[in-house]
Amino acid sequence: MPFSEINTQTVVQFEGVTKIYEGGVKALDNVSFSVNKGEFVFIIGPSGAGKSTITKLMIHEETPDNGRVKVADFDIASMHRKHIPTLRRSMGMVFQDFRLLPNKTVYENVAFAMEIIGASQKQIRRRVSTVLSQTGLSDKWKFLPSQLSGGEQQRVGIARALVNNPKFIVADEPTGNLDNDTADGIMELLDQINKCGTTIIMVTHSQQIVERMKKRVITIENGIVVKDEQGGYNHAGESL
Amino acid sequence: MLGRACSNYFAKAFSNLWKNRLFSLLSTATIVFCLLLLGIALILGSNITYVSKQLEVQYEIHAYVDLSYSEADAKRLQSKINDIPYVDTATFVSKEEALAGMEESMADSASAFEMLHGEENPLPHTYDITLTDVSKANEVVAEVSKLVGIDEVKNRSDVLNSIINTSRAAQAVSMIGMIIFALVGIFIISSTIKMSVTARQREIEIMKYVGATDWYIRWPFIIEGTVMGIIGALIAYVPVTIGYANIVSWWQSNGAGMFELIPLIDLQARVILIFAIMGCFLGAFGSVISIRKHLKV
Repeated sequence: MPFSEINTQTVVQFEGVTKIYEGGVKALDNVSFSVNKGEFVFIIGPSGAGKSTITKLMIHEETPDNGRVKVADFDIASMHRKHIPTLRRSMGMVFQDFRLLPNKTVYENVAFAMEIIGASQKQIRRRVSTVLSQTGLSDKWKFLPSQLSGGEQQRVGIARALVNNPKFIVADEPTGNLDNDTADGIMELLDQINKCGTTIIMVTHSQQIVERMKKRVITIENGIVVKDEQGGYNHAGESL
Repeated sequence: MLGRACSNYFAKAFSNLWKNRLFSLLSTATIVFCLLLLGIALILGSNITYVSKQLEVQYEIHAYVDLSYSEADAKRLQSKINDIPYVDTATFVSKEEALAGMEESMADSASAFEMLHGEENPLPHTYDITLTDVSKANEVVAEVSKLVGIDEVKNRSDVLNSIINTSRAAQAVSMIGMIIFALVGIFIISSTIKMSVTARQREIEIMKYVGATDWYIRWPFIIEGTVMGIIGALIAYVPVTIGYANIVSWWQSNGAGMFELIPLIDLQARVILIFAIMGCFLGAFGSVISIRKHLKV
């Protein structure tokens, strides 16, 4: 589909994207896919397949060498640097290592994502209270990250990603540092968030999670999309 | 919205100053050190310029009128000399006044001058000329020499050149010193602040990922730097002014005579103004430089 004919429901669009790093390493080779509003999409593939490059392109940490990447209403290759904050505010990021501020409480960690967009303290109190309740952290708001379990820390990360009502959430190996039971809890939370209408793009290695969730799976190998199918791991990632 | 953002920046800046108080103290101490050096350069440069100005005021060109000219003829040259550019005053000294001056200065040999009065007076009528700009002395000497009736013009070019050179060198040294101290200061301060910024690198990175603008991240650091600069300026101001007051007092009681140092009261406003500007500049610019690298996320 030509870039100009993108469906208004499209949240992320990769069109013939190639990315070559210094030293000539080709991370992505003519990658095309799109993610529509409300979808839950897994991006899977072995280490070095190009999954992280896709994430980096979506948040404008990198730009494509060829092809076009459209995220929300931004063309990543041609957008001005000054619009990067607006792009990043349109999405929520969830990281494998949580990336919480260790000297801030759970409440402060979530609230500061709203402070940077200039929300009033009243709005912040109301919204943070809602997302902490949604992520099951209402009684932990005063805790520091060091006083929480890994799963709880990731919930704080998800609450922070959710607090500004993003168009979509990019989750980069969100269960990578968690045990199976905790990972299940996190996936259940992400599923609930998706059912409320938020698009979720999740990069993962976990075959069990992909299999169990029965969502759309995009498989990347050596920088190329080898499969893009609806369903679990059995359907999508046989060669993984 | 803007007010909320400003109060947020200030709250963050003061909170960071307190949380990172060791770095804050270290940065402030560095600013104080740089401003002390800068203060010395400033005071030294200002005083050399001040003394040069005093010497410039004392500087005179002597124009000797042709011996054949009567006093009335010699006085007619006054307006022509006054019309020459850069001439400030031209004081006519008649040959009798010149002789009287010599008699007075050589009172012990006054009898030797008795026979020189009247027609025997060998001295010429003279004009003592002061200038509005001593650097133009050679031009004025050339113009005065051209006047019909002027026999000779004496110009202490050695004194003149040393005054001009000293004044220019003082201004240059003072300026270069201030620039060097400012650059060294920015380097040291940015290194010190860099430690503080590195300690908060993760926080900056996360802020960038959740959509903070560069200026949202920069402002608290700039405010922190400026606050440290103002505190540093106030601390440095005290020893510099106390030290200078003692030097002026010692000079007045021991060394005064040839020339004076700038009174403290005339220098205070300049010192505090330059310290405040430089302190803020060092602090704020040092912060901006330190944080630049970390904003490229």
